[in-house]
Amino acid sequence: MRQVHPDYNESSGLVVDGSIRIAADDNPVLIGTECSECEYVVFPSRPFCRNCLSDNVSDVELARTGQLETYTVAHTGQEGIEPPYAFGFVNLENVQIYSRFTEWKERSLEVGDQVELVLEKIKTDTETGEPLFGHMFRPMEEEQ
Amino acid sequence: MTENEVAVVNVGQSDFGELEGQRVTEFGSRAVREALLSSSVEPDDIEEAYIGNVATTAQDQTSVIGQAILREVGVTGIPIIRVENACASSTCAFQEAYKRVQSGESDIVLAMGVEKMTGVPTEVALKDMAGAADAEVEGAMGMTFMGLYGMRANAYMNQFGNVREELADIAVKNHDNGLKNPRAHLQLNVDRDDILESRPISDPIRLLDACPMSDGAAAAVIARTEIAEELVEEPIYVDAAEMLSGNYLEEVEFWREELDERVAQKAYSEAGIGPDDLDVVEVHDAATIGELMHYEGLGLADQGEGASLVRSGDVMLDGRTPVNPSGGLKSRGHPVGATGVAQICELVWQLRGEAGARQVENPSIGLAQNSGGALVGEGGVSTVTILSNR
Repeated sequence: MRQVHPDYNESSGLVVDGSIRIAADDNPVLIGTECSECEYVVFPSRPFCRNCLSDNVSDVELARTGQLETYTVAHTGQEGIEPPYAFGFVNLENVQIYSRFTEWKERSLEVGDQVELVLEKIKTDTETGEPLFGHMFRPMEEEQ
Repeated sequence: MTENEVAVVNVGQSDFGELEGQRVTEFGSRAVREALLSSSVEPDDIEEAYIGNVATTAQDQTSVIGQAILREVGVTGIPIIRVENACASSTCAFQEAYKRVQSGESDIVLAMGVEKMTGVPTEVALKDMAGAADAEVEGAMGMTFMGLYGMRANAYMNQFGNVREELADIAVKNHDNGLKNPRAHLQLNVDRDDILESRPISDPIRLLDACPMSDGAAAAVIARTEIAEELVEEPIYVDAAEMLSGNYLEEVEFWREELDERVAQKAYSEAGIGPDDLDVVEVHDAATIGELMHYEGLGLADQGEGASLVRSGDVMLDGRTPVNPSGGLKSRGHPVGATGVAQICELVWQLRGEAGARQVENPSIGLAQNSGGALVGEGGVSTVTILSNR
């Protein structure tokens, strides 16, 4: 199943600049920062390490799959986002990140679920009317 | 340097609710006026003032709000400082005032909180409140505060089992208490089924698990103990005032109130007491799961055992350790910048035996816990204040 929304292209806006890109295999990948001194990983990217303050840092591709730490489904939400919508925190290999979820209606979410990254429409830019894109995770099919 | 002991001289609180037609300067000054009139403190006696306020989009006066309010009660010409720390703003204002008296810098200081939240559409207010979370990712990608409580509740129930009915019972308890508090915002006579059948807000949190958005103000005059004892018959002593922020650099365990644990430990140590010594407690029940997790964070119950305090009735008005006799945020309401000092007001009234129909039996030590904001799911700030009548 495709992991990038069909309306997304190179000129599309992201909710968080530089947070996600299309890898060589045509699938999305989240970009964080890894410190060369202490190996601390942070998302989204930063110019220096918040753990040891070194600026000897570089972009790192985060794991595309992770485990659902916790979640909720909001039935009353922020202006500009149509409820209900799901969000929560995902534990990737070495960083815990906030994310919205998709396909949670088809396959209900449970704490501890394996989830995978997709690039989705997050909301509409209130100034331009254009969609803004970003990361979401979705529950993975259980292996047979 | 010798530290002064500090006591609350007196307190005041406006009605909490939808104060339609009242400017923030009006209900704000009503709270201060009550605190001044109920003691022999004159406006000129106040040497400094600290005011908690978050200033949502609903508020007309957003800057120099302390000066604008205090002008109405003739408290002018002194240092007046606004403190912003999300929903814990006014406890932080109270603690700043406390430190000024403790250090000997001033003898009589005013702490207050004020907030105007109603009068704008809910989604506008929610987006505004989302500014008290990480704005770069979470706020920008739809996180809400009730969503944070929903995430905590799901993590908690995954770890410790289903407490959905006990959460409903916490809401019922706080509404029962609130019916006995004439200044409370939501005067609702509800039962467990009403809570469980109310509309979903952010699973598993339902409408009646959540506090309302309110308008309101609360004020406290504090002084060096020797002075407080001259000014009033029953000063209420400040035995601990502590505040800490989250750690943020590690993964968060959403089923645990780790931030509460750290700040409570500091406060208990400062006051020389433990959780078993508490006679009355006010906690930050912005949602029912918040109250249950604060039981554990404050050490009233072991990890995973918070619901047992609800089942046993320990936290009821006539229980071993009554929690939120005021009705809490759930019923008294939650004008975010005013909530912390409103908790202090309740403890002072309880410790003086002035709480009317909701009076707890003969309390001598009270604790208030107030939370504010969140980053990566971990609390922005948690505060613990311990008061006693000695």
